[in-house]
Amino acid sequence: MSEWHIPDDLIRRFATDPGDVGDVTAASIEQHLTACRTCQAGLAQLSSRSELDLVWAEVADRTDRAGSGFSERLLHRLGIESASARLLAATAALRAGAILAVSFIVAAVVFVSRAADTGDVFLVLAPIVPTGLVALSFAPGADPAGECGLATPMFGFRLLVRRVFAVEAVALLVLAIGSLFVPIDGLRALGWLLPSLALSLGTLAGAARWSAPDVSAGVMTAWITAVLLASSAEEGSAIGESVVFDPAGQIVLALMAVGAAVSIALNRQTLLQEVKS
Amino acid sequence: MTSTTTVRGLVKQFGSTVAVDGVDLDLGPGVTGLLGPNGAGKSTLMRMLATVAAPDRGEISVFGHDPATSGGRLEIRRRLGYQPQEPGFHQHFSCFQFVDYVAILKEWTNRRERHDEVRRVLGLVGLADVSNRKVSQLSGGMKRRLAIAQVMLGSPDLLILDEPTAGLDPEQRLRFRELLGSAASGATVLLSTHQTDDVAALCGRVVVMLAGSVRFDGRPSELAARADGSVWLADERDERASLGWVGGDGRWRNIGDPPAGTATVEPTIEDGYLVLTGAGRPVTESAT
Repeated sequence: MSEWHIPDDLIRRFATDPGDVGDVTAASIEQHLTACRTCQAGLAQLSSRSELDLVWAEVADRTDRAGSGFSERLLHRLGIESASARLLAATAALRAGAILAVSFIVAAVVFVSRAADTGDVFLVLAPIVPTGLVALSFAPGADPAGECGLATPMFGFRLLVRRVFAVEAVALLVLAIGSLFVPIDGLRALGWLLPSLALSLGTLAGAARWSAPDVSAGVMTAWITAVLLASSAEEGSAIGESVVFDPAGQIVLALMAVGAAVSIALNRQTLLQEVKS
Repeated sequence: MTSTTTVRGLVKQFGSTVAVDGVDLDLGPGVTGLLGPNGAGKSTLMRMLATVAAPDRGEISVFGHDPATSGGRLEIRRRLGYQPQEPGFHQHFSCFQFVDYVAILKEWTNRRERHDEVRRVLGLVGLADVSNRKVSQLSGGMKRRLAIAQVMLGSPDLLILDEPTAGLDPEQRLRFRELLGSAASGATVLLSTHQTDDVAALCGRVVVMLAGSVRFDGRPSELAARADGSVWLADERDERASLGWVGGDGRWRNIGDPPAGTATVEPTIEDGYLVLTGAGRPVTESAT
């Protein structure tokens, strides 16, 4: 332990108002306080119980945020409690690099759609984005902590669902922003939403039996094949006007999403084993 | 001995390979060493006890809870500290953040208490001074100590440690012994290692696994006694020895079937282990 201790005058000012000593000095004091029992005791004498709790809360808050990644800070700013933010940000698919890559892909798809003056490209490719992210977040090894995390009480189906939900939310948000710049009119501009849910939930449901990356590849291929077949069946019409994006097609996709969700709930124990292996 | 952990008829297969083959074991408070060559099934056994792998057959009871049920797993995990053989890390986290992350997963909901505990365990393993350093910037030995730190969170009742001293330098290994001797007092500890001197220093009991089965279960001195009359010193490698090496004094330590009239020396745990595993078996016995 260091032999240096915070001078009385400085610790008094810090106890009264941490902002009074300046950010840099306050950060140094906080760092020192985390390890020095003498100064902790000194601070305790200067502060009432409630004031001390407030100071400690601030110290803990700053320690929590220090060095945290972009995703964790963003989640925290969105109002998510720090512990939950750390749990979610540990998911590979929610790291800044993954979000940046997704944003870049969506931007590229939007650019191509605008250049071709059609929303077809966006409608076909958009559902693939959340599907790939779900596969990435659910694949074995997605949490680098590995078995250190698996052998803890918090590890379980609810944690997996929270992470997949967060990944899905991020992907859908990026796609929603992208869809604003795609040349499609009316409700058809949201034609990618239900396929996105059906494909990503289908991937998760299939992961109970096969590896998540394999399932996602199969689901993506099946989706593109189905859209192209439906489009070719209606000669002369654009992809966006095919039966897949009609109300009937969308209802079928919604039912598929619900079926996949039920399958996930029924196979939750098997899914947990899949994450472990 | 009061058993806290009971294993009966445990079997685990990977394809046609039987990793754990009908293991029966009772563990109680104190440190039990788990020895065995690579592939003996030690890690698989530990993974099943740590609730991260399910057995194909057999029963496990930890503090009266069955890990086959979700409720049982939850209760076991609340009292468990586990260090896997290959611990994984979030490389972008700092030491503090990584242990804090595991503490969150271990249900430390009060932030201040959690941070105090994280600092405590980082201090225990001597990483307090580098608590803000990124995991990616740590040496192999420091990462091992970080893995040990997360094990110590909340002073668990059951510690499962899979080769925790691998990669530690001699001083760190001594500090680990000190840590385990004090911090794990009263807990049930299963310690897998290839270091027989760790077993001699820490364990009141030792279990040796071979080919998925328990081949020895007793006190370290009893394991050493397996080599009674089979170890002798000589100026050269004796052809009757199945294993021999030169010691620091320049003399050969031979293990096997000693020549008639040769004075044998007191065996160590390592000698007993080598005789048990067959590496140091007397030549006459090997031929049968």
